Amino acid sequence: MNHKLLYSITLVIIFHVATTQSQSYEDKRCKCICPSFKTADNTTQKGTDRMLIIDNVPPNKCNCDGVILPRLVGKIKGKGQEICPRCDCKYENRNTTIIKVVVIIVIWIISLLVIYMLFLMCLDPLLNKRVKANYQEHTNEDVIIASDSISGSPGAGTTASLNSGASSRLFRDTYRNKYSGSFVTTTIAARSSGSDEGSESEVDFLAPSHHRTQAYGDRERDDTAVTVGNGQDMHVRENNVLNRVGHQQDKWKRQVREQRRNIYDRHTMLN
Amino acid sequence: MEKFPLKGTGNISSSNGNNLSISSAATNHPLSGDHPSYQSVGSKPGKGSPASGAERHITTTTTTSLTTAPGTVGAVPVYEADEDGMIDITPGNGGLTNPNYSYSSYSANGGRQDGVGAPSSAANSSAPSITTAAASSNGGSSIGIGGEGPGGMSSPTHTRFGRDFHHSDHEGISFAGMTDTSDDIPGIGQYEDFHTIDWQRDIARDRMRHRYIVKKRQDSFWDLLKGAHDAWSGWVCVLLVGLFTGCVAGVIDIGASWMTDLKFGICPQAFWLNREQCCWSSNETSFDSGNCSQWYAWSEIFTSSREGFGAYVISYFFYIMWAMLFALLAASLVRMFAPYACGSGIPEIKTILSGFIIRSYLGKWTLIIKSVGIMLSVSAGLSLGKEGPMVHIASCIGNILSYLFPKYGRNEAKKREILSAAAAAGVSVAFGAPIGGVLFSLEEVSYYFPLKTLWRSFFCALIAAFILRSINPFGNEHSVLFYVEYNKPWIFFELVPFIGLGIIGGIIATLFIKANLWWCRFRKYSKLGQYPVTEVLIVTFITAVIAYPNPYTRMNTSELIYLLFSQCGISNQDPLCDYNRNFTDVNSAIEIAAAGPGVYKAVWLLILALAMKLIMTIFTFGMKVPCGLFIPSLALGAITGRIVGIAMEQLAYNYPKIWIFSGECSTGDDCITPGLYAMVGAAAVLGGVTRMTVSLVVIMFELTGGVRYIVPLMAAAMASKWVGDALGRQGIYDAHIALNGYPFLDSKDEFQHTTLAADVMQPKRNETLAVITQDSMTVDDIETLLKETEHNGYPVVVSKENQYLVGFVLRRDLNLALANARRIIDGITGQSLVIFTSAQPVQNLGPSPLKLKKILDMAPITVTDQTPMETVVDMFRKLGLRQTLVTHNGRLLGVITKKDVLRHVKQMDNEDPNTVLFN
Repeated sequence: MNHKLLYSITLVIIFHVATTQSQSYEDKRCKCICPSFKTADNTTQKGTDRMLIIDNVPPNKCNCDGVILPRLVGKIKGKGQEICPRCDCKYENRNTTIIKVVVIIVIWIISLLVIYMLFLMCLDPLLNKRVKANYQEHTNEDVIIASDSISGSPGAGTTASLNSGASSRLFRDTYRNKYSGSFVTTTIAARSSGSDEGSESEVDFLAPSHHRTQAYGDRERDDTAVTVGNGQDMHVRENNVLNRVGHQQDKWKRQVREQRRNIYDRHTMLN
Repeated sequence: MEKFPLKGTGNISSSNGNNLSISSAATNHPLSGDHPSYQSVGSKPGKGSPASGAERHITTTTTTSLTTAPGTVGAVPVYEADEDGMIDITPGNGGLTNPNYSYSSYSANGGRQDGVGAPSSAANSSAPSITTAAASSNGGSSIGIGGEGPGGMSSPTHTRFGRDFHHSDHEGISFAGMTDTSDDIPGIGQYEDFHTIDWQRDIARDRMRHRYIVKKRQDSFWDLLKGAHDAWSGWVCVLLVGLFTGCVAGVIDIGASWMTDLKFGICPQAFWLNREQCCWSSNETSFDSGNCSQWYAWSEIFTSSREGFGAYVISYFFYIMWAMLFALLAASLVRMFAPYACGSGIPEIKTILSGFIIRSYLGKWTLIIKSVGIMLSVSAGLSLGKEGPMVHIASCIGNILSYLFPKYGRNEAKKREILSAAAAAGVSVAFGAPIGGVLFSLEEVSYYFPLKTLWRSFFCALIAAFILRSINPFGNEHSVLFYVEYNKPWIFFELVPFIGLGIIGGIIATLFIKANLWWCRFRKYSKLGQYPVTEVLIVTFITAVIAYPNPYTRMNTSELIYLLFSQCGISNQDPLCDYNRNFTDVNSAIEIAAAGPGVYKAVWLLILALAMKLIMTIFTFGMKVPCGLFIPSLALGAITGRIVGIAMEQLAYNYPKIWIFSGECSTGDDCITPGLYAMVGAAAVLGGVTRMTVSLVVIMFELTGGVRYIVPLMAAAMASKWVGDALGRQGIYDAHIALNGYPFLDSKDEFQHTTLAADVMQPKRNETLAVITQDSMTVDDIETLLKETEHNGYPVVVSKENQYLVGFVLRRDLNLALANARRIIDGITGQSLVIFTSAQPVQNLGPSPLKLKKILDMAPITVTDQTPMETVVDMFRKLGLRQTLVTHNGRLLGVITKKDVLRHVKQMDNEDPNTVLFN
């Protein structure tokens, strides 16, 4: 899924690059700013004019002698030596292709993120409402965490797909039910850090698998964003891979929710 | 190292095998998983090669009885051998057949040094040094243990090494009966969120892994390749970090400059170009606005006029609307996807580098959102910069890429070496100052910075700067917008105004820090904190409304700094250069001249801009968008400096003969450069805000490309730091660390109180210390203990009555190991004894015992209860401890954790100790 999207992005970029003909935007210039030659003519006049000359010359020719004097032949008589010391010539180059590609990529990234954000804000709660009817709602958060750790921990990276069958689906949907409106700050009953030991020892299991996720599954999580961002495959739940992807997405969402709680609600960090 | 054939291992093992029931697999596989035999081997390269000796960064000097100090490289093998010989000798164990704990087989070997061990070592070309070392310590040590230990006395090996050897590689384990705890328990060696890391443990783990690889690489060509890959992986990793950082910085620079100009107009022929690039080859570019016919301002598109009231209103409106849109996007993206991406990130990076875990703070979502968010928030025209977030972005890249190399990805202490290098790369691309970046990493953010990291940071910064320079995002052949080249001399007397600028900078900086802290505290504790997006929108709106009328605040802050830094020349037609001299008049010499009306107007506008920037930055820094404060500080200082510079210049023009100018201005030359004052002022304010000195000066002179101004910059930075330190103790980063209560043990502060370890340790009087006994608690007991207490680690003692210390076990490891055992090993019930010793317990009829010696740290750092806290704090700082155990008369008395130390330090400084963020 991700690859397809990547390909399409690259195709679009290549298309863009290929179709835009070379216009007047050159990549090199020699920019000279000089006093206007009128002031050189009349010794009494105080001029404030200045002239800007942009030329395409090799770097070693980018000076007054190479750029200014050839243009003023005849206009000034031997005053070149007076104008030239005041001239300011700069040779500059750039790469419009890089600029173009970068700006297009930036636009793409921002619009993808915005679309996904809008999806999470608007569509996701709606989809979950439909699911809500099918599953009974869990009220105990520990149960949720436990079911997640069961599905996540023994897998240890390799067998996660086997285990994340029914239980994780159940988990995900129950989770969605509970936190569908997560963008609107949900105040979750803060689990006191160490007092309920049962859940904490379960949570311990999350850490290694989470770590592996970071190690190996980097791309997969990006997949998540993209896959769901397209919004096409939401109904195909039977697929194991998709299931795992959804599972990872939920894990990520939970992390983000935790971060939000730390920063926006409890103000323990990043004030 | 070639002198040490691996057969030697086999020989030792096989000689063990003579005694014990070790399967023949042990001899077949040279790495038969036997850690003592490994250690005996491993100690050789330690002596032979400086490389492995250099792996010991921190020498542990403690008062513990078990951990002796590996002081020098030369002493290392002796220490190893000493430990093997001294500690592993258990008289009661010698003849015991213990297939489970094979190290006792080696201790038997060691004990019978003259008997079995000698022939095997004779066959080995290099073993004699081991045996002699062991033998030298043999007598005393065996007496010591024999005198102390009863029959079942534990025989502590260096579990740190032993365990981690297994951890790093367990495929070589082929012992029969070693199926239980020798398996890798997943997650051991990792940390939970918001915990501190144990540098000593992680470095020991890495040392072990390194030795294993060094030893194994003689096995086959493939292993040799793996060893080579391991050796250069640090360099490869920083190379990749540099490459990616340079690319990301280029993308951010280009994207931000494009979006900034989007507020003003668009280039319809090539929408991806910003205004300057759009007018790149247009000869009719007007000097005032930089506009040209290709560039369409929004007013031009809608009213087809560029001038006039209507056009102004439309431009104003579009400016505000774009700013609001960008700010809204930045704030909501941050809020939706990665809340950790807000802020500058440097206080958190400092905390993380000092050994704290904040999960997913350096993750990929943070990276993406921070990169996008910083582009958006810079383009929104907010009073913030992208330099601080660049450090965070580079650290994210470092963290993500370190997972490609298990050496760094799986070891938090080692990972921090990469992160230090990445921080250097971040500053390197932010200012185009590679050396400044390295020094910034050393001076400001890093906690543990050995020479090896210095070189890697240097390389990383170099690569990043090179890549950014090749991308050439600003089209000026430099990686920053405000690069200026100076080569003007300065007069000696000018040091006085420079120092004066330093003082002003220090005052402005202190004012800024205090006000910002006050506002952040208000945001934290009031209802304001509940409306992060609204707050961003309001601040953006106010900023945009105020900023647009004043041309100096309307322009991008980097451009403003560039304008202030640069000299007046023919290409500069800003009112700031409106002197009564004429660059365009070829007939008059360029000399010092009276300021024209344009200059005075510009000065007034600059003063307004200064006030506006100062106030808006106070409210901006700390909002929930990515925001740094290098650029605003530089701008504040540059404005101040430029104004002072103009004043000096006019003084020199009006009174050229005063003695202070020592005749240099009397000839009418242009002897005072206001741009230089702007530079010095910028350095002063930035120095006052961040309290940097060396790195700041280097960054500034790398920015200006001249070493001539080092002395003025140094004078200003020093004056600013002094004034800042006198008026307020902390720099902005330290103040934010304190505000958030991050567990950062600052190595700059001195601990000047006379308390003792006994005053700080837990438990306090009348409380009992939660301990685990080495061989008399059941699984149920331990689980109850884990439920009833919430400590992060438990000391293991001999017995409840004899609280002699055996080791230390972490709560997390214990949890993992118990759960792992219940899942994998049959016959583990609640009644199973948990034993942390190697001795086989008396076989009763109960269920089979659970052996957890592997997760036990047998070399915990200990102090006595009378140790002054000054020493303890120093140990925590310099060794990077997570906890230390307190003993009295050799008995365990209590524990001091890093949290206790931090709370104690806060208490002693009369601050609220409960604010420390910690688990």
